[in-house]
Amino acid sequence: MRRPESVGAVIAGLQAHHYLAGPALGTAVFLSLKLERPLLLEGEPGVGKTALAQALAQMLHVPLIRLQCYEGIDRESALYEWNYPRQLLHIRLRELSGEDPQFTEQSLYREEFLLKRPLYEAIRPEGDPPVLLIDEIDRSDDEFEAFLLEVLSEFQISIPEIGTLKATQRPVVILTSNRTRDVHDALKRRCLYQWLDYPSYAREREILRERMPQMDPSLSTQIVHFVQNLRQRPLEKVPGLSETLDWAAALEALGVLALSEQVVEQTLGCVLKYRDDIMSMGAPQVVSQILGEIAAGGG
Amino acid sequence: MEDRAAENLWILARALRTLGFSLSIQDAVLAARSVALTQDLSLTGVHDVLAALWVSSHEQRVLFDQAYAYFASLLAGALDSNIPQGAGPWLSGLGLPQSGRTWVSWIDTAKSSQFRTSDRTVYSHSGRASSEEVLAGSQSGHSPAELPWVRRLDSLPAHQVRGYRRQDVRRGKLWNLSRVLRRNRGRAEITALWRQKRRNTLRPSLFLWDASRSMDGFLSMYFQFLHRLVHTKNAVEVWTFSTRLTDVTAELRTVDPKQAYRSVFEKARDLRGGTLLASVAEALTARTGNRLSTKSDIVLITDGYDAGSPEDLANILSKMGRRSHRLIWWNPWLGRKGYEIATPAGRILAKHCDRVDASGTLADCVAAWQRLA
Repeated sequence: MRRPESVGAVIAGLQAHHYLAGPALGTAVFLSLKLERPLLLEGEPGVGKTALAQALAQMLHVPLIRLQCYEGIDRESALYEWNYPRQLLHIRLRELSGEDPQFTEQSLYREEFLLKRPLYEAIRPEGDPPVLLIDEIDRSDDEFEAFLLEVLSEFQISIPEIGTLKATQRPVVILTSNRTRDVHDALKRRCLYQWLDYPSYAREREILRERMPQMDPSLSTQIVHFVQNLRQRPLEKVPGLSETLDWAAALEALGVLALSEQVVEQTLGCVLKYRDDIMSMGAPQVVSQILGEIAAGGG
Repeated sequence: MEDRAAENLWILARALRTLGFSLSIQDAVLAARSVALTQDLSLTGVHDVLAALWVSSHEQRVLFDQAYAYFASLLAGALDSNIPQGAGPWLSGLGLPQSGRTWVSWIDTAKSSQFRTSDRTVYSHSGRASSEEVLAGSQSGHSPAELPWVRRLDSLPAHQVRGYRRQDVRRGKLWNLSRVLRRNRGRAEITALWRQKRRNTLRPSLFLWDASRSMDGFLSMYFQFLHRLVHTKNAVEVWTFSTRLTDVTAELRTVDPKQAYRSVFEKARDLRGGTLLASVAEALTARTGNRLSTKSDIVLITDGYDAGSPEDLANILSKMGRRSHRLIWWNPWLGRKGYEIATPAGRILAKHCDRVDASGTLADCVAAWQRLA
């Protein structure tokens, strides 16, 4: 795996995989690769945190291993488990072949009897060190966070029956958080930090053109104008960048050439995901007002 | 990297420490090494490196940007000031506001008099303006729903308590023993399991909000917080007290903040009076009756200045502590420079409450609420 040698190379490499990163994010990714420290990305849902890890894996030509956190996730689901059925089968076969029971017991705790979970796969990969994405860390419990602290600081795992396994090469670790709760300071201290905000108008238009170059420029401008306008409104869930891309894909699939009240009404579910938000946009004058503003603004 | 540049980084790091950043000499060394790695010594290049290494939250980022702008201006000689070598306080003034942002002025004694009889919600409190107040005070047309503390509060999960009822699930820690036995009846061994998990219920939280004269400067801030809190999915009850006890939960449930503000202060007639915490707490235990269970959290929002007898207060607090899950004291002055709990009532509160949390700003309130989860 060849790692980029400058911030510019990181930005260019990500752009080659259709991810437009600014200088600040490029610097954070570059330092994360150089200093071999995990990168913690925080921001509202749908601003491109997970997409960064995917683009980074593509850029480095290594696999992406994703650990999706949830309430109640534990060490066993993240690291390893003993494959009990296989061990039982092994014992049965050894018994049938008349082997010494003591020898059988010793042969039970080998790496081949482990069910490898994402963290194990990342620390002991078969090829190049992968990109490990620990997604939505804020949804996990404090105990799991403390466990991660141990793994991410030493990049080693202790299996009582086998011993300590240390990573020969450290994986690239990206942690994401939607900020539903604060990640503990101890974990933050071990990571580089980057806050991802909603993109500005120019940046969002650039991203849309990068991701969907075949789309009519006037339609993409209208879409970005509309979404930027929605972000100024008091909504339950402000649409993120991923919603913009989903909506653009939906409009393209429908063969739409320009936004109209009818089209917006039919496809609003791609952008707004809460009933109250859709209801608040339900009044026809709201959509027509936004479309009017776009038309007046030259969109 | 040159020694002088490294020294400047260390000065910035020390100054940031006075603003609440947790930075050691290793962080400064790592920053110097990282700047050498990127080879970008421009202002924005160094800024991006330091932001990635030293910042650990969105709020810190806002503060860091401003401190860095100030630091850069000082280095460029744009500000007429001498930098004392290795000293921190030179950043404490934090001037140089960014364009488009305005610092809100908090209520000082002179200004507050004109708001005392007013029904408008004032986004302010004593002390330095926090980032959310900066946003609220700016004329950018932000609605309250867009304020960081509101977004943060809304995003917190509801406070729950484990219920005794169970529900069937595919994977759970508990067995539905009766079903397992029933379904496997007549078989030689148990071949199938049915699992359950406990069903959670909302944890009742009861706020006792001191609205006496000594808490005058914090009234509007607590109103904002509690008004928003009762509109979340939590089981929250709010009582104000000064010399009497008033249940204002229904008034706070009014959606329009102005209307709610008016209703609360129309109903609570004893605002800005003295504080009789012991008699109020006794009245509360009598009025809440069986609703106050050992699963309830009781939050006392007060500054600890009380006119009643300390012995009575100790007795009633001890009783409340036993009858509730947790008794928490939210103290608006806690954590401020030079403040210590000195009053007899304050000491009794600190002794009998399970925890004392700082609640001097809206961000503190949200953090204290999160800690209760």
